[in-house]
Amino acid sequence: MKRIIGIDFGTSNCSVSAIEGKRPVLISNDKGSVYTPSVVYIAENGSYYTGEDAKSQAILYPGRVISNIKRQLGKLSDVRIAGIQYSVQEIAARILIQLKNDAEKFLGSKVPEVVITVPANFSDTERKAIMQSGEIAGFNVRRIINEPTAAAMAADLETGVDEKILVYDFGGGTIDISILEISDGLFEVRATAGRSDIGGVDFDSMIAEKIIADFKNASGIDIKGDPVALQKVRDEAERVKIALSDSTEVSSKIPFLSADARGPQHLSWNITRGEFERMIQSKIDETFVLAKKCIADSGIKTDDIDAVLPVGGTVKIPVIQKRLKDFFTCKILQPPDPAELVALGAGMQAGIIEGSIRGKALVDVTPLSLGIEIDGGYLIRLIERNTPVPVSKSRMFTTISDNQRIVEIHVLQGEHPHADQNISLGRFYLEDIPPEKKGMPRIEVIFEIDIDGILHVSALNLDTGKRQTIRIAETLGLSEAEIKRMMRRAMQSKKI
Amino acid sequence: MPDYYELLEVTRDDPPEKIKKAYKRAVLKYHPDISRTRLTEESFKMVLHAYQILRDPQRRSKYDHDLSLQRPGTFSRAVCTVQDTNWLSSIYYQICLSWRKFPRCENPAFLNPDKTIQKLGFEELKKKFLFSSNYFVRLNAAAALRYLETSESVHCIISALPGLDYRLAREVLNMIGGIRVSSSIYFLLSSFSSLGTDHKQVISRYFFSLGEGMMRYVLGRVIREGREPYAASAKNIYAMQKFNHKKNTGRR
Repeated sequence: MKRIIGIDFGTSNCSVSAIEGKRPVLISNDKGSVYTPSVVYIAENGSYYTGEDAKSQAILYPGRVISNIKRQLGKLSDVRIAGIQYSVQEIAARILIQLKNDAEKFLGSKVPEVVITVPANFSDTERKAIMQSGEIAGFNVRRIINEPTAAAMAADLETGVDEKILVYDFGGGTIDISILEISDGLFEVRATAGRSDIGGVDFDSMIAEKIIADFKNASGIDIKGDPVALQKVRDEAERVKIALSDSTEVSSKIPFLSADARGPQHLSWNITRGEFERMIQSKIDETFVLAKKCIADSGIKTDDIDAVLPVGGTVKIPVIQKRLKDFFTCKILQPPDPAELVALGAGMQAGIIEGSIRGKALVDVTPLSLGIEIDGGYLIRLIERNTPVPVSKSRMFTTISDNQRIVEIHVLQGEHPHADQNISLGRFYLEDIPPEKKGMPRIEVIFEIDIDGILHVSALNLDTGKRQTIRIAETLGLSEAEIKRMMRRAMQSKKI
Repeated sequence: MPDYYELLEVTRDDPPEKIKKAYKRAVLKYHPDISRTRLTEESFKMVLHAYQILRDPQRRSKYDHDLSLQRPGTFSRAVCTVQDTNWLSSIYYQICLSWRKFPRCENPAFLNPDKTIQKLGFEELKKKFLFSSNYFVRLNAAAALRYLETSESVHCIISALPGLDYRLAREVLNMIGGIRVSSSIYFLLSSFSSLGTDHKQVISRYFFSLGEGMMRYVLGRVIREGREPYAASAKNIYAMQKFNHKKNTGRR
């Protein structure tokens, strides 16, 4: 039997799980930890470090270390290190390669197949990007599932009939809210909402900024131009944030942070939990705005929700737990480790696909509406957000002038009525249309969102019954040749 | 349009809880992860879509209407077989005008004819319907005739319409309107102009209880054929009807 592993590819940390017996278990890496930092270090000669090793290089070579790569997925930005251009997918793949190696060592067998989790509000482009990263890493990506849904599956809830659960998934880089209805092993998502610009790493940088400002006030030195000092402060900020969950006041000392004519300058700084809570309050408020939106979308009343499941590393912050208790009247579940649930859920889904877990099934929804641009730059929606996937919708297209041979379809994802305010998924061209009078050709275009949340477009000429050729342009994805090239490069460049 | 009730293995009268249960059963049956084959993916998609419609009372009732229209021998066929569009549009014009004065009617509770009377043949029923002095016998006979659902039985009821008293005529029309076989619609249309105002009311109500989809179809046909002066009026009515529909759904 082929082993399938589940990967939680996080903004700051990744974890891997696989089925042992009938349950998913976390796989520890060669450092003995179940969390692998999502950090890549690339050396001058192209060889690289990942995980903890890369993170420890950050202080020495801040310019060659890439972190938070998940936030770049699906964006058209390349990374340039030591004169070599890397695509975002390729950087992410380097981390996946390490996870793959760790899993193979742990399980003692090859793991060619994988289930990867993504934030629920990831667009088609972002999902495709992570899929391509998987391919570059040598995986056959069997399924992409949403993080909050995965967590709900792993939480092993003792559910009655039609239990309604709200998952509050606050991770390193994203916040996702999903509302699920669970009964008899069927996990059905009713609505989901999320943002990729609020996460634990933002709290780190808020603390870091405060440290930098206070250090400037105290010593008169601005360390913003000093990458090494900046990195030290960033690492310290993360440590402070985590420590604040356990103690009400944390002091922070970094010796030799900087130096000037007076000699070396040390950082001695402290922060109380109250100060920290005030700092992050507006961000937390925004997460509850999202929760309200999601509840409204689901058509379920707040009082009808049976339980709230906090997920992700950031929910360990005490003030978030308190806010959840204030906002919801129902019980707030206390999973043993909220940061592990997503990976375990990915493993669970892997088990379902493998066949080692039976009687469970997942029905998820598409987080964003899918539409096409029409005259005047407006968007008309074909598939509404929160529609269960897989789903397909067809629409008839025709020509607007005599003997027109090409019809352009601009496909977008988002809710804004103006097309340019949404995420462009690409332009599709119906080509080789037989020349006819305007309005005569009838071409049916089928838009399909598959179970992974990824869009497929196909077209059929209804007059000839033939498949219509489609050319895709302006997508951010990589071609097959590019993926092959990156696979080769990943293989050749030695891991140190 | 596929029959979602059949897909979920429920009947059209089943309550939401039963449909929900059936939906879950169907998901577990067709889910690609469970069936372990890609072959069920289309069915799975359809199950998901079916439940999106059937879980929502508004969408479900609209779907029920649309579904009833495409059953064999239903109105859409009747319209297709009508050759003289001029005649059709004139009738529709009148119907549409009279309809606006009346509220939309609920689906009627059909009269179930007495079991004994149901056993009788067409000729017996016809006799009872036309010549009995007992009101309830006539009504039961009419209901039994309706159950036969043949064009001659329907024709028999309709041909007697102009002579019926108002109460009986209304019951009969209600029943005929509920049949929705092509012949009944055809006969309603053809007798429309010869009937009194009361009868016209009942008939026009029935047309609109057929649902918005049907209205659009028929009016659309009139517009497409472009027969003046009816096309212009039909366009107006269509616009008005759309407006009314919006207003109604908005209020709910």
